[in-house]
Amino acid sequence: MGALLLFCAVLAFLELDTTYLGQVLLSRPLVVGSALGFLTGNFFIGLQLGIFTELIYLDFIPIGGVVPPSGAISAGIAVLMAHIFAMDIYFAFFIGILCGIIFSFVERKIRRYRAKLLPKIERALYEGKTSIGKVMLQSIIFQFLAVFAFALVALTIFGPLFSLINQDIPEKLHIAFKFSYFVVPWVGLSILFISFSTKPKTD
Amino acid sequence: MKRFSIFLRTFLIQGFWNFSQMQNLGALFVMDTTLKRLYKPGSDAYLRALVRNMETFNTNPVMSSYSIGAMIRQEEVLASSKKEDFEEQEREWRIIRATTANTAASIGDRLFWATLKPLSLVFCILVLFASEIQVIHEEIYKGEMLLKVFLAVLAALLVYNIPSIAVRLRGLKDSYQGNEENFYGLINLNWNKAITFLKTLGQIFTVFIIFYGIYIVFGNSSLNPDSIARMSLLVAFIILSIFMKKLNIPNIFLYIIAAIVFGIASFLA
Repeated sequence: MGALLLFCAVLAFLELDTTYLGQVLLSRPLVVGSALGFLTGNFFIGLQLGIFTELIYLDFIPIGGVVPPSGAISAGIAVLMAHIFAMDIYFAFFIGILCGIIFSFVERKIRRYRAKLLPKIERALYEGKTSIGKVMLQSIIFQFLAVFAFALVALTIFGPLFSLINQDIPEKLHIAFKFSYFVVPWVGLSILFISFSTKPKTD
Repeated sequence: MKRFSIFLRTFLIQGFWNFSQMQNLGALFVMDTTLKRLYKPGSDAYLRALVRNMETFNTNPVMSSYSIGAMIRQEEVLASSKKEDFEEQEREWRIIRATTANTAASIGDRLFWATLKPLSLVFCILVLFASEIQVIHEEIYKGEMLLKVFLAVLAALLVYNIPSIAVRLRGLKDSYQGNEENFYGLINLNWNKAITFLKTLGQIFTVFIIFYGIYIVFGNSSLNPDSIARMSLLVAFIILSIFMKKLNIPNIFLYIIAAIVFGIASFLA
């Protein structure tokens, strides 16, 4: 349990970099996958899951108010599922992707909640009842806790559920998910090529 | 201007991102030291500046320094302006804030999110290939190559972060010293040329990765019905992914649909 909490804490810390703290790409799936892979002793699985997640998420660009699925959550949950619940890498990847998509809805809720709090905070800042440094710190701690809780809940739901049905999963389904996983880097590389083909407009 | 302290604060510009006013409190956090330097906290001028700085703000986080430097400069003009010029200078402050933020966002999204980030991934894959770690293969290398993988990940981070940190620092300086003529430093560099060059580089390396990847995966397999079926499906998926990209549908859905369809098909077969 202690290790699970530690892994979730690492994931929550790295995820902060996506938007709230840094944006130095410590939250990119490649880094999250490798870091958690290293911590769990599944370094190469973490690396591969990280790269595959990053390739499939390439066409999501966080422009303006767009909240794309979280690559950090996807890679992190996938690595932890593979390690803690001995989930096959192709199933872990699928669950990771689902969690990344679900988290984008949670993230939208959090941003709406912040918008709701905004007038109150602005008033407090104007009246000198709080400082902007304190507001930022609280916001970052809140985000950390939200991601931590999400990762913990996702792992405690999907993990035991998988363990329960693992024995009964037919071989055909394994092959189907394995092939879908095999396709990922190729789809990702073709996205990569197309994204590099779009040249900037000349003014 | 305490440039280094402001530079560090720009890393938190999205610290209170919200759907109502986006990066407004983050921008205030970056401007906070300047406001306290220019105005006495609690004074009318300070409170007016506080309200002004809490207005909606949104730009690319890396390029935000191009807006921040120009805003600091105009805030200094405001702090020393005469009463009769104040309204005009405040209006000018708002124009500078909006126009630099929009332009910086447009450049930053194309340069950092759409070009440098994928390019850094390409570099990582190339370093891994050079280390004979075939990450795109189903069966990956499981040897003792920790250091090489670490270097590949580090390469990806450096390819992105060296230019991004340089731009953050230079943006503060250029925009603070800039004026309308050079659009607050934003036209000091030929961004389009840089983006075109990096995208071309990315294209060349990606083509190499694709062909090398095909060689790794299919190079040793003989022409049997199984390998032909796998290759045909792969080609079909590549064509589908290009098609979906053209329709602006994220390819993640292609993967999810594939997993579900193959899953159902496996039961029906």
